[in-house]
Amino acid sequence: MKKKMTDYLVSRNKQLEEKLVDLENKKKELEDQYVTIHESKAYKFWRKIQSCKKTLKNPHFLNHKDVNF
Amino acid sequence: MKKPLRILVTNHHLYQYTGTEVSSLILCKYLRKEGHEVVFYSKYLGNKLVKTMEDYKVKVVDNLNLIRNQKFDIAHVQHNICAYEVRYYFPDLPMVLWVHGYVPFLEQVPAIDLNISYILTINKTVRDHVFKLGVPKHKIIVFRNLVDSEAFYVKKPISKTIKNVLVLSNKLSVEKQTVIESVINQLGLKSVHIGSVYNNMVDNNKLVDYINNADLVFTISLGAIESMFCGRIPILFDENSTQFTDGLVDTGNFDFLKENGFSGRSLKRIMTENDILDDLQKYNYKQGELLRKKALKNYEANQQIKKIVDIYNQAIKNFKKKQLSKKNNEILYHLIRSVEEARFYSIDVLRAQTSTIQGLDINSLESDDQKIMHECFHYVELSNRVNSLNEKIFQLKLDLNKIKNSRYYLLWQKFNKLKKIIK
Repeated sequence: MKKKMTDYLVSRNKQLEEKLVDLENKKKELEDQYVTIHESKAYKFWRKIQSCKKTLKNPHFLNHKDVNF
Repeated sequence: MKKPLRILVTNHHLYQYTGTEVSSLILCKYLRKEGHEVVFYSKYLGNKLVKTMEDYKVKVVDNLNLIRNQKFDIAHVQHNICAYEVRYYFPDLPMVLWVHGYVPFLEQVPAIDLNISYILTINKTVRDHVFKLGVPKHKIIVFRNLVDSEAFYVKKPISKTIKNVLVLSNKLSVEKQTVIESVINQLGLKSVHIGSVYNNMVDNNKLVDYINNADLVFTISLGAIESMFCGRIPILFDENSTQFTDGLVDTGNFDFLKENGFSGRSLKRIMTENDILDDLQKYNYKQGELLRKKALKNYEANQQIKKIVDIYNQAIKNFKKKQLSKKNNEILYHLIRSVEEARFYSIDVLRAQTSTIQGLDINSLESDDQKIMHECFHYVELSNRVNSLNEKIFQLKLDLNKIKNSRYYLLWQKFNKLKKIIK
């Protein structure tokens, strides 16, 4: 009985290990996509636009009348 | 047919064939049969039952956080802890709560107002209990258990006199076991014992054969109804958190006993061996078919599922979003976190206590117990890793979706296409 139970548990863990490998692969695939986007010129350009927008919206920045555009 | 619904069904646990777990399986099976989309949530899952759910094409999850962005039409919740969780993760989702009893803690109505559309009760006794707790009458609907007539049916005729007995119980106390054994021995009956109390859990699809091989079934609740579906006569003598039992079911007491869910608590009898022997003298095989007809009329899943879908539609139609008060929101947050913390530490303490076994190779362990423990903790460790990976994947998908749906990304994609064409 106990031998049967151990066998069952071992096979269940094996299934879970396989699932883990699948998930790792899926995660890697998503991370690659993420990295590709992050390293693209377009994304870097977009980040720059976002940071400029933030700076312009900053009231502290707007209060400086002597800022030379 | 009306538009199919997307339904979130929950049960606190799903790892063995006991009351609400079986109800969940049948509910999901028949909702799918009617063409609705079903996602099932439970924190405590067992492989076998998950496989059954997946065979019904029901998606099973053990973490609501991972599906909180999905859209549902309604949540059919069983157990109060799940009601808190569903409201926490889905603040604007219509919800019905199905209450299966009034004794177990998990069946108690939530302590804070969660904007539940209807409280469904499996019988009138539970309905009265819920009403006494202050739930308005118009919010309580009696919705009886559903029993699968495709799984429980007459395979062979019942004997004219009692020859074979089935003891079907998950919780039977030693005292009651002794009484049953004594009766069986005195009458010289053949008996089979199944259920977790006998360390002999049987798959639900095999239960029909066990019941059909018996004439009389010692059981309560769902087991009693399933026995009647098979044309067998149940005797309500099982553990029910009280000392009471109801004895033999017949057409005369069916309607009365049904309002207590055949729990064995209706007549408040304290039965001795002699009382059971007296009851068994009233055994009449013809009652088998009559009880079957009555049980089908009240619990047949095909009819019941139509009723519940009507209730869902009514709940969706009348649902009004309501924000929880600041205080209730705080309580809800603390409840959810408490459940999660308690769950984490209950697993982690075992991991810490058995760290000596965990690090070893299974082949180096001598006793079977050590091997079993080793594999169990390896399973917990693997499950934790799977959960954490699922969380990471969920977050990545969320981020990627956000990026891919942004105007700039779409513009960039178009620009890339144009570049390709030019090249």
